[in-house]
Amino acid sequence: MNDPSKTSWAPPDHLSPRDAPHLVVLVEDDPGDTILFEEAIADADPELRVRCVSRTSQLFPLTQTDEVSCVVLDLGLPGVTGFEALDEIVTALPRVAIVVLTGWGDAQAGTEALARGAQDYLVKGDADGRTIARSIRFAVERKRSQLSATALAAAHMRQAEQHRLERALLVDPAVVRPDVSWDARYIAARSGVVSGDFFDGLELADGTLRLVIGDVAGHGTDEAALGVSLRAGWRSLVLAGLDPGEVLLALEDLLLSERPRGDEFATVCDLTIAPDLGTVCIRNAGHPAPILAGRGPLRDVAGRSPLGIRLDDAGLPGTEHRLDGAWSLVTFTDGLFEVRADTGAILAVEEVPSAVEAAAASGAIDADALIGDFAARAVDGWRDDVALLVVTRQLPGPGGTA
Amino acid sequence: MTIGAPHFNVQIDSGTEPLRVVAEGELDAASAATLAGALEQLPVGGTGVALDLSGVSFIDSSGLRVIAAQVQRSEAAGTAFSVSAASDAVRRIFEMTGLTSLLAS
Repeated sequence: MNDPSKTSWAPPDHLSPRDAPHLVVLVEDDPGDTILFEEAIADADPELRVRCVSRTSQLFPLTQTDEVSCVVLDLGLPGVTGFEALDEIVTALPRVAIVVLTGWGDAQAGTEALARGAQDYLVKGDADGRTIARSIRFAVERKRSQLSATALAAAHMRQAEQHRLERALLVDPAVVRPDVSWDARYIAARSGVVSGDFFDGLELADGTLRLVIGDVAGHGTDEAALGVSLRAGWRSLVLAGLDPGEVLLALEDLLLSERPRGDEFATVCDLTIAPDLGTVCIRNAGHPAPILAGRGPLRDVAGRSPLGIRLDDAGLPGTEHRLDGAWSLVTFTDGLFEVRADTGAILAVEEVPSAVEAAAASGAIDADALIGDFAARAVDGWRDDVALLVVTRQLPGPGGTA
Repeated sequence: MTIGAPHFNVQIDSGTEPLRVVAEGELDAASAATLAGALEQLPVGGTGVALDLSGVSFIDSSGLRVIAAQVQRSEAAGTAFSVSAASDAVRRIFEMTGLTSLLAS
């Protein structure tokens, strides 16, 4: 079983393995210093391979063909100020460690170089082969840990962004009536990428309950952002007093104007529960039908295609269903049942009604039992996000929910 | 871990009118790009496209999105597009999503 709450992080594969031999490139215009440097390294640390160039312009072609671990840069190159050359290398080779060589008595330049992105500095003429080799090894390790820290910070940012999106996609239904209870669940897919599942619910002044669940096709932050727009748009349209039959059509206009690529669509199911809790009107644009415990799917015989795929000009008049006594219904996204079973096949929506009955043995639908049923059947985890919302009407008195 | 995930294949029968595109396997988030790539490189215009899904055992919303995009492209080009020979599993998913009118009867 996978644990959807955990996000794993592995080092990016561009970080080379620790035991690879390092290629060091010296950028130095003085032939004498170049020879001294090569000899000093060869004696102190023969595993470091050294190449020498006299200008930065010769360095960059080399990095195209060979994997350079470290550049040793003489800050005193003619023609450019040393820091210009350093800035150029830091920008062009963000994964390569840099050690600078400064002149005698110029430790100031060394510290400045560190601030500009070098990993270490050496004072020319003051360092023997072992010191230079140690400095190069240190610089490579330091660069590697800096890259890891950056990648980790980026992973954390993505995770934080996903949590923000999840909160915006799935708000707590604003319902206060004591005779109705709500139970919502959201499970992230095994990929960890948030998708565009959304739901929302509102209680209007007259006691009418309005509820929506939807799913933007595809996975990723664009889809999730579109889901956020649709959820907020739905709430605005409902609060603005738009007729329920008009809400999804207006929402489709919103989708058409907001979708970034032009082929995004969303399945959306809109429910209107009358103030006496005795009827529900389902308006369905391509979404799996809600299921009423003890009765089965509540279909919208006048339903249509998903929002964003307009096949005809039909409206959404909806289909009304009676609700008797205490009742419990569940709306969900297709991630609930689109799991691979041990037969090798991916389950279909027809599997849901019997699972709902099993999860409603005590009257109200138990959201965790329903999710647990499919989780137990999924041999390779959740392929897609799951959003699920159970609405239950309790009757007063003992045993009222039966 | 993936257990028994069938391969996904797209084949284009050149010379047929309308152009017949045969897909086989599971059309999901992982394979949708393969079909999208095949459909996008078809010539615009011509006698239209018939997508054969008889060998497709599963289709999810990512797959439907590729088909929806082809509906848009065909409408823009003024050519015909139909989904032919859907398997029972695919037919049920088209019914659930209100897209049965895309299926050739």
